[in-house]
Amino acid sequence: MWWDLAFRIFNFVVLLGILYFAIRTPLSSYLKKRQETIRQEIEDAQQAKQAGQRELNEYKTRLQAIKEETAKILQAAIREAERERERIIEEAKQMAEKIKRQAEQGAQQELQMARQRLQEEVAAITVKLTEELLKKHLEPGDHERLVDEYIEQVRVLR
Amino acid sequence: MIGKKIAHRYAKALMNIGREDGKYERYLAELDTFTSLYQKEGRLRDALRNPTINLQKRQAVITELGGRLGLSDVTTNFLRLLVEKDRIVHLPDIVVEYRRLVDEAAGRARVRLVTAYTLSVGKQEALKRVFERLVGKGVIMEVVQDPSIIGGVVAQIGDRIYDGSVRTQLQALKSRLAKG
Repeated sequence: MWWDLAFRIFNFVVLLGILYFAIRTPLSSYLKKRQETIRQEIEDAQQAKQAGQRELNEYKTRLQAIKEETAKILQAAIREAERERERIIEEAKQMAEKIKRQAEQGAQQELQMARQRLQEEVAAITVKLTEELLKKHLEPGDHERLVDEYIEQVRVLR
Repeated sequence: MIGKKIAHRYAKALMNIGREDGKYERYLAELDTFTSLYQKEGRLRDALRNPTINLQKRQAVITELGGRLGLSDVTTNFLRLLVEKDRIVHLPDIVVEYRRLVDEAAGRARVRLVTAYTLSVGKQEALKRVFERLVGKGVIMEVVQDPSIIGGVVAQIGDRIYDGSVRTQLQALKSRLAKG
């Protein structure tokens, strides 16, 4: 019984010994290769990671630049809009001033004309009344005096 | 303008005759007489101007009137000539021009005076003297009354006007007042 068992153990040890010698070299080479491959992959991955990082940094930088550029453009646009607003306001002010001045001048002229008309009317009425009074109240003596004055005026003529 | 030229030509022709026979003053008086009738009587005026009426008939009218008004032959013939030459329409202008020539020949000026009321003889004399002194020759005064001048005197000698009327002074006052 124990022989059988001993035999079997012996067989197994022999098999193990054979197996050991038979696969030691290919296995070792396989493992080495595998190790190499894994190392290479790790290296590649690291490189890829670094490249990614660089690209990321680059994008970040460009994004920052774009952000700054945008901010600059925006600022310029705001300043421009501000200037335009001021210009429009200034223009509107000038226009309003001009309209006001014109209106004032028009009113002044209107007033002047009305004043002139009034003065003319007053003059006409005054003279009309004076004429009526003179016609009513001039007496022969006054007429004589007027003729005497006229004679004097003609006398000094040449 | 043309009327004045025509008036001058005819007036001068009559003046030449008047100078020769020394009766230019008389012709002036006669022309005045006829002209006042001519201007007063519209029918006479129309008849003398009407070319459809036979010329002899129109001239006969002149002759008839000349006889009644006691006009000299020279004046009557002058008027007949005006009718014949269709110049009778210019008669008033011709008389004005003839009067100017007569005044010139007689060495006197004519003063047309406008007054608002009747001038006393004394004032008329004073005015006459002052105008004689002004123009340096004798003047004939023609006084017209026109109350519209209100007071004072307006005198016209030839083209010159000496305006001392109250009306004109009032007008001047009016424009001064209107200017302010």
